[in-house]
Amino acid sequence: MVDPDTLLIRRIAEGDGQAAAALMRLRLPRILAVASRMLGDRSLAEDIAQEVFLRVWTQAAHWQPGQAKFETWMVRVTMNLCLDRLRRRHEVTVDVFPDIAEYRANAESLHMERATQTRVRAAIADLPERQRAALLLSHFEDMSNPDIADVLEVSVEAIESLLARARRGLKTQLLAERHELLRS
Amino acid sequence: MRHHPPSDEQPPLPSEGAAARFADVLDRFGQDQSRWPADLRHWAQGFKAQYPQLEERLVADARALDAMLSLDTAAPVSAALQARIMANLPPQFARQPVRVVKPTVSLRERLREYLLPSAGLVAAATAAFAFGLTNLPLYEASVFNNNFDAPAASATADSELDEITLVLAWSLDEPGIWEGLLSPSTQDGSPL
Repeated sequence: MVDPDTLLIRRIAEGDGQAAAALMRLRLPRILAVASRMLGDRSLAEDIAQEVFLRVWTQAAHWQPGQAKFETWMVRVTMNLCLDRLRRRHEVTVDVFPDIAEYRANAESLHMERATQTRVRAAIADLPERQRAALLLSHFEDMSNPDIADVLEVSVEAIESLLARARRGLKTQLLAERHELLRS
Repeated sequence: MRHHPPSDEQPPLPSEGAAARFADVLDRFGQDQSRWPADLRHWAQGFKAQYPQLEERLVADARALDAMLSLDTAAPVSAALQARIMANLPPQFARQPVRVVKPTVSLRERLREYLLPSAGLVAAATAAFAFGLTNLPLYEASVFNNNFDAPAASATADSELDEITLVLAWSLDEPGIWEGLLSPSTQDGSPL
């Protein structure tokens, strides 16, 4: 399979600023979405996205086509940076997600749609890190289990297990209130 | 309380293991069965044939979970973040010239682009040169002779313009013509 980013990476390696801008426009939304959902904090996610692209600018010259898709490498870097950030904080949910904690407390007063979104985000944020990573790559990024295994550098069986536990946990949290959530 | 007799339409109760396995497969691979391994797809068809209502309920739960997760939409990327990322480009990006692919230019377009403006410049330069020639003797004559009488100067200019026009038109190869034109002259045309 031809990597659609190969030509852009080659041009970036030659110092082509227009190619750098093109790659950023193409891949930034996904990188930012992954980091935002993983960290639950928009500002931290933007810092991570900035760091990912800084690595792209400096590593482009060393990229060897044919190994893996460049975008998969970018998602892997994003995920590793997010996991490092979470480990450094030693806390996963409430303190690392101040906005979610705030929304939880004020959910009643928020607009219904936003409260629903916040409820879903809070449920995702309550998942253990690796389960959350596997779930968001599977559901939101529509990646196959082997691709997720490549990003998280674990076996495909381990990914299947992480996804099964993540979905079971979310069902426990969300399905009881699904009629209310989906109505909104 | 009235007790309903069991209906003949109720499906047979599945084994606990089969239902749990189907739910586990749904969780591992998602509700899109095209992403399941072939052997599990085949097994799921048998499960559905045997327990259609249960299969429908478990798949509906999986779809409901996906629908709820999809309520979490991603925020758009800000222009400020894009600017921050582009500001991190290493210095060699700034030093490298931006490569622009030049389109093929036809001879006609080149003529239009380069030759016509050049011809215009040449024409303008020629006109300016001719204008300079017509005014130089008049200016010099006026200054050197302290003669500021405009009508007289105008008449002189007209006569000298006629003379230069004739010279340019017919007498370019006449020996000694340039000495008379390029040297300062008096109002009557004689050299100073």
